[in-house]
Amino acid sequence: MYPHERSLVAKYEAETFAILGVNSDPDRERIREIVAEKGLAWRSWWDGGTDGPIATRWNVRGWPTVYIIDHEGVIRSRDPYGDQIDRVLDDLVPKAREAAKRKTEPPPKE
Amino acid sequence: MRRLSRLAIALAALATATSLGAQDETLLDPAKPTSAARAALDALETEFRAAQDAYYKPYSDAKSDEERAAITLDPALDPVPIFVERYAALAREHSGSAEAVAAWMWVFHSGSRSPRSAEAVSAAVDVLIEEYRDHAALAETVKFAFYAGSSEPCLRLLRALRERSERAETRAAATYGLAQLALQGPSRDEARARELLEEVREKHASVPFHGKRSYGEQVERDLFELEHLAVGKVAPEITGEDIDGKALSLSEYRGKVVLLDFWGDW
Repeated sequence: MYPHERSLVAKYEAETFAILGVNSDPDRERIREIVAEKGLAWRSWWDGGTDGPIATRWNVRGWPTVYIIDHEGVIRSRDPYGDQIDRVLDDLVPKAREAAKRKTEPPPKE
Repeated sequence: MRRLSRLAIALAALATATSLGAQDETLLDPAKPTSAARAALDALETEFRAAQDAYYKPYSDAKSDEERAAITLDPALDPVPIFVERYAALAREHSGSAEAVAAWMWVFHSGSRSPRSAEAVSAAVDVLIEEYRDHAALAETVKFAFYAGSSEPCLRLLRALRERSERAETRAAATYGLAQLALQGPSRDEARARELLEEVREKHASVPFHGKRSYGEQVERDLFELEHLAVGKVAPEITGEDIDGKALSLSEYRGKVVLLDFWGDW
């Protein structure tokens, strides 16, 4: 999973795409070391274990579990695998880009 | 990889269920810490693992995904159909024991993955329903029956146990399993799943599900998932601290596409 995630971080700009992790390792220090050692450049909540509050609320049954959420906060994909992840992101990231552009551009003059 | 790791979790859960059966028996009969049935089951399991490792050896030997993609295994050499017969024989020999339940459930689970074992699976389901529906060992292991997927034998087993078992744990597990199956595949039926989950909540809320968690608590999670975690729903807010102790909330990322990854390095 790590190499694929790294490739996604490289592929899409930080303004429109982010990976967020929910880490379920019981040992926080160990996971900080792993993140540093493997150069995982995305943030993760630390959930304290597989029965942590976030994994519990999200009813996670297996690891890894992946969701893709669009720029409006809507869940667009659950458990995509392999190149499905890229296909979903290739569809959603340009839409986020468009929406960001509309926001920053001044409103058309009357 | 993801599929494989989920299967591994399911199988690990099964293995735990099998060993729980063994512990129960030890508790009930301290004079016989290892019964003949247990020893026979353990030996058969060891033999099966070796046969399975041999069959899948090309995969473990493959050095790349390309090599793996090129492998074709001869289904005639698949050890499952042979071992299905042997587990069934063991179950008949030690009829009535916790090991017999474990062996019939093995036939059910492993046979469900092999089209050549359809008859044996159907026979195992008949025996489990007719002879073991009230057995203590079945109450534990039937929790994992729905991992076999939405097949006719699996549905038949769970429906019969839901209606006919005298044990609340077994009825709870069967009803819960049917709810999970209703959510699978192209005939996904959320309304039916909700009905079954609500039946579990109504009738079996205090029955233990897993660890300290009861069916009541588990069903709340599943209903929350149906309501809020499906594709098309607005993701619930997540707040908390990141691994460095800094505050982090999902809503900070509104405007960006987020890949949310529940992960662990284990």
